[in-house]
Amino acid sequence: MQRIIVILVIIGATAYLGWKFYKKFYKKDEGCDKCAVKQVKKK
Amino acid sequence: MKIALLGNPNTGKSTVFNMLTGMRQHVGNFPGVTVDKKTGIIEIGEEKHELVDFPGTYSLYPRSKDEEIVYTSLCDPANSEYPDAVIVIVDASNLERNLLFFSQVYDLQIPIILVLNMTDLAHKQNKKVDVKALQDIFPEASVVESIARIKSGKNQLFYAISSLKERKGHIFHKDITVASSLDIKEQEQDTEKRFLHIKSIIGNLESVIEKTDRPANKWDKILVHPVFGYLIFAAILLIIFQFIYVFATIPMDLIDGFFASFSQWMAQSLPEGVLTDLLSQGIIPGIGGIAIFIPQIALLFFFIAILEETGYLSRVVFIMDKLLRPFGLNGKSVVPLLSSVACAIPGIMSARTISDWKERLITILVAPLMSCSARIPVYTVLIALVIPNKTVFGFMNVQGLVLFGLYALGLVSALGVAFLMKLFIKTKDKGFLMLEMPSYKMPRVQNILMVVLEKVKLFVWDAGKIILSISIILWALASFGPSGRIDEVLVAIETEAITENWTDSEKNQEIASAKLENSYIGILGKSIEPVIEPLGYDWKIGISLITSFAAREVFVGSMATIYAVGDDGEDNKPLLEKMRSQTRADGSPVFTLATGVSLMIFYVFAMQCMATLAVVKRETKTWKWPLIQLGYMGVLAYLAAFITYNLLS
Repeated sequence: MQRIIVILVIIGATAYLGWKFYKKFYKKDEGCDKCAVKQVKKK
Repeated sequence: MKIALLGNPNTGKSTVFNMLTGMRQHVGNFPGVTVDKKTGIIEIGEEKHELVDFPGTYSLYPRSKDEEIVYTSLCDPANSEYPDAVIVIVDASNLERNLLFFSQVYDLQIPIILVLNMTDLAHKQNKKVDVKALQDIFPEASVVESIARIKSGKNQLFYAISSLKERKGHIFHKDITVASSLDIKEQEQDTEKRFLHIKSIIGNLESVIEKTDRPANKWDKILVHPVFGYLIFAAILLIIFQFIYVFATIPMDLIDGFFASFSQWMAQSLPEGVLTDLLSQGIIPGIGGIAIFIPQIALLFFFIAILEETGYLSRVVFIMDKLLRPFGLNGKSVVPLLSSVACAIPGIMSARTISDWKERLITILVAPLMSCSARIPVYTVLIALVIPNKTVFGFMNVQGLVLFGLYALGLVSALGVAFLMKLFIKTKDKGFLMLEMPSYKMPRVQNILMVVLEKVKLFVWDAGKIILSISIILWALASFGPSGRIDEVLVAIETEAITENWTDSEKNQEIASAKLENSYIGILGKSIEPVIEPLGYDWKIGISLITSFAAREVFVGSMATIYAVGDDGEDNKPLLEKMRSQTRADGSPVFTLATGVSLMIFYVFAMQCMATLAVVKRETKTWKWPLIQLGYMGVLAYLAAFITYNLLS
């Protein structure tokens, strides 16, 4: 049982670091390029 | 209701934010950008509203990434940050300039409150704002007078929020409209027309009681003096670092002692097994490795917040411009460089305020050379290890002086590298500095504590989770090795123990050492040993160098984890004692003055931070600059550490 918990904790820590790495380097930047005041005018 | 908090920089926006939300705050990022988004909850009786603190801006039309957030959020109703209402903070002592932005936001037809803040400062400058006349010009806005620093005007502001009304279409002036596109010319025309109209009405809004010398001018004569200005700034920095070093030691020792005892207690109380090992040797020391930095980080931000709150930081920008310009930097580079003393990431992000591309790029490239707070733990351990705790000149602590020296070395090298980069990076534009000098203010304890709390929280949650994860992985790599390899070594030790007649303690120490040496991490450390040997480092230090590439502060956690693996459960000496007792094959100590200083110098220059590289990539939109940065800092670190080690050996 102890071994299983330890393996899960190690997997969790590795997955967390991997996710952080992905987020920092690869995740797409969701910038808003199309926003403009004219949309307010349209409204 | 989602309410946006807007205003020019230095109008007391954060103070109003704190006044309205108290401790109900959260810091995140605006979508898609790495700009802090501070949100809080305003509670008015049973009403609850979300308040979002937007970056300070002088105009609705963006000139930097920070300002772009304001523009995109307010001008696009489909934007997720589009507010139901806005509160615009206007500096009563600087009405003319502040009204440009207010009039632009007013014309967007969002329910609006004008907070006329810092009326006390306006009064000190012999200015009086006619609130009724202001209300007549902006009839659909609620005008509230406030001195947020002393929480004056809070109830009136709560009342104004509760009574917000839908807009009916009134605009600032019938012939002036907000530019309907991102066209620069159209935006310039709008800005010019607004300024002219504001100039024509400002006389009706503001009256000068009596013209006298501004109190700020008297202080400025000393603080921005071409000689005393720099001396005062250097003295302030020296005092800050002495304070940090001396006063942080007490809580740090307490935290260290607590986690060491807790770890020991856990190892003795829980049943033997791999989970107990993970808790007592990996997780608890990992958490301790995060908590121990809190006092120093809190103290550093405490002082930075005081400098900012008083208005002194803007004076520093002003005096430093003359000094920094020959190095290819801008006076505004002081803020990114000074912020980098805490962490290079916000420092690099704050370089966005520098309009000149070349000056901004150079600032980004040299900012990580400033000694960040992540280096503090590395320096702290190494200084305590190899520098004597003595007092010189009757009051100067030698360890504190060395710490100051390391910070100074970071600054000097940042300037040197900036100068070289100025020669290599070519551009046609010529940079300039445009700056507003805020009035001097007494710092508010509550505001300073809020900043400290926020920064500590960010460190504990953001960096803390990474440090803890790395500690766990390190523990695993140090506890396990290729199957069969460790067993073979253990059998050999058992045999040797019998033939050599070792005591149990000697045998256990040998087993622990052999386990570490043959673990995955030991194999990795040994493989890089030939490269780092000329710097005076052994394979254990090599392991910490590898792991601390993720984040510098991991170095100490790694050392603790590595040596804890060699612990047989009876030896509870702290990390320093363990490091001191380390010897090479010939019996000489590993951590001599030469090795310790060489390591410190290595950390002054090396780009040991994955997150900073990621931010540089994001800010420069290319891999070219982060790779150049990684390369030049690595070469500089290796050469400097090599020279230091050989000179001191």
